[in-house]
Amino acid sequence: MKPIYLALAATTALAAPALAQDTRELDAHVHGVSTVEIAVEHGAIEINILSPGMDIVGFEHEASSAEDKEAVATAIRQFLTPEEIVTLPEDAGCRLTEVLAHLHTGDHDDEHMHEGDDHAHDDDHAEGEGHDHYHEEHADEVRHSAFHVTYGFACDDEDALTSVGFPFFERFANAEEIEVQYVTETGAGTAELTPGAAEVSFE
Amino acid sequence: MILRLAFGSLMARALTVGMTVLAIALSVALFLGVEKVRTGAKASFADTISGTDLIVGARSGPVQLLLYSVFRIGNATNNVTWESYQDIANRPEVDWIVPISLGDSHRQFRVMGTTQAFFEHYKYRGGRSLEIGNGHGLDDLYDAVIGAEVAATLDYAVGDPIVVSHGLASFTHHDDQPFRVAGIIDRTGTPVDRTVIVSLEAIEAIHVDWQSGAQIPGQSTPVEQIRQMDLSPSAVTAALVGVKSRLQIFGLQRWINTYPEEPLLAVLPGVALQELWQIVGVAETALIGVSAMVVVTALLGMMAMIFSSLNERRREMAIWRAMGARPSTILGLLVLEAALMAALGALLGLALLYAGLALAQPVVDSAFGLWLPIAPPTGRELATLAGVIVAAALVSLFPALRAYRLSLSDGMMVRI
Repeated sequence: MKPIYLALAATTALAAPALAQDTRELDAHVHGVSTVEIAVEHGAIEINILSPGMDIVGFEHEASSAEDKEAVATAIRQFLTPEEIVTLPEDAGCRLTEVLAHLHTGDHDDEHMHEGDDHAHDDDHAEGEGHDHYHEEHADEVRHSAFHVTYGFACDDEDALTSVGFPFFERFANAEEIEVQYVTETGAGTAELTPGAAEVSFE
Repeated sequence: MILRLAFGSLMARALTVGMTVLAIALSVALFLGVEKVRTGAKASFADTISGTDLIVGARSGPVQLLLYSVFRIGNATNNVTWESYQDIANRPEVDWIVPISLGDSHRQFRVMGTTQAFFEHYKYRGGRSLEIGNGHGLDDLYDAVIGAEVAATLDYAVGDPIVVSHGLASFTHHDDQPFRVAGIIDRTGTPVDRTVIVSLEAIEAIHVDWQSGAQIPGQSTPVEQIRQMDLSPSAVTAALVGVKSRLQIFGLQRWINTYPEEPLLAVLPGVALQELWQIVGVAETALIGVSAMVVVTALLGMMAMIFSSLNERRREMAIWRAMGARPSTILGLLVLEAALMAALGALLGLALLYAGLALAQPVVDSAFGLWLPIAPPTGRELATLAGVIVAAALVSLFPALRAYRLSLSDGMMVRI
């Protein structure tokens, strides 16, 4: 046992000066609350969704078992079908131009999460080998995973684009709240959506 | 016919009815007044900044950053280093960026260091630009452009000298380097009215001989020498940023919020304002609740007045019955009287409100920088008034029903 401890201590000590340069900071992470950003300009609407893994698949640990992996893959598939997640006013005549969905797992390289899933794009988080120990030590306290989804639409009638509905809540029963920030021609604003009031209208 | 009867009956009891109408009028004026101040304050805040996509400052809270950088209220946020400012300015998404440097004062007014770009990009009330009605912008190092209220309060004209104080309400003055009033900005109804604007370089210049917040004794660099110095700032308080495309706002915000070299915060002014209203909203609701209770109290007072009048009017009712009035007519008469009182009260209340607004408007504007518009009643206000009248009619049903029953049983045999 002892040599291992020593080795660990040595790597940590060696890594320390380099790490001192690093900024250590974490984002706010609240289970049950997803954040959504909506920007509208010249008939283009872009929607960014960030959801805690807890809300979507019910766990945030590494998807190691086959079931876990299946759950993640199913969630990604659901996100890749935008009409299941967001609804835009029909009068606006919007067409999907872009869709991206992937799973972020804290500071881990989450490449393996996407294996076998063509749509998900890999996080560019590849890190040097030397950092591994550091991450493992802190992994338990730090690790939270989140789904990151981006939709882009092009709409014929921007004026009809006055609201966005979120059937999102029907898909993911664990999701309790969405905090929306939006920017449109008329200005920026924020709204809190719940399963009971799952539509944001731009004022 | 019955309307004339009701009116005549009210006139016959002018004093008690008058007091009741006055109570209703005051309560209605209070309720609508609270509503006016609330919407006026909201509009005034929302009108203060427009056209700015992001406000960038040191990491604090969105509301704190907005309040300090735009409204100069509340706790100061940390400064942002000039390097970080340059990094943001060099981002491809950024269309324009205006630095803001706060910290010094002139009398009770804040001094803000910025660049000429501030006058181009700062917009208020749905896209209006600042107008320098008198004089010109920041041309010289020691030029100061002052807000309308600064000029009015301190009686300054273009060309007057200004000495900036170090910090707020401080006794140390930058009197070795006086400024000159170069221009006066037309009244905007925003905090700009209460601000002295100088150039960013000027803020550096007046602190040339200063170290750790105090002037180095006996040291005073001549102005000519300062003009030759490199006066690029080392820090700013905040920056207003305009983005080329709205679709890039959130991306740039995320980049700034995760900027590794310095903890920064970028907020969307509209979002921060709404967050502020969510906090203030609780107090607002309480205010509305209290003033609504006052209206309810006035209506209850009216009900008590009608109840107590029933006894003295029993003979009157009996005579009406004898003349052929049905009990339902008497019920209708009482309800109509109540509705008339409420309608009179509502009208009088409206008159009181507008009189009060006309009196308070200039005072509130100069004391709080809050512009309360005098506009015809909105649909919502008219609905409130109608609601008061309907509520009065409903409330009067209780005494009216009692009169109805009494008039059935009493007949002509009133024993008083």
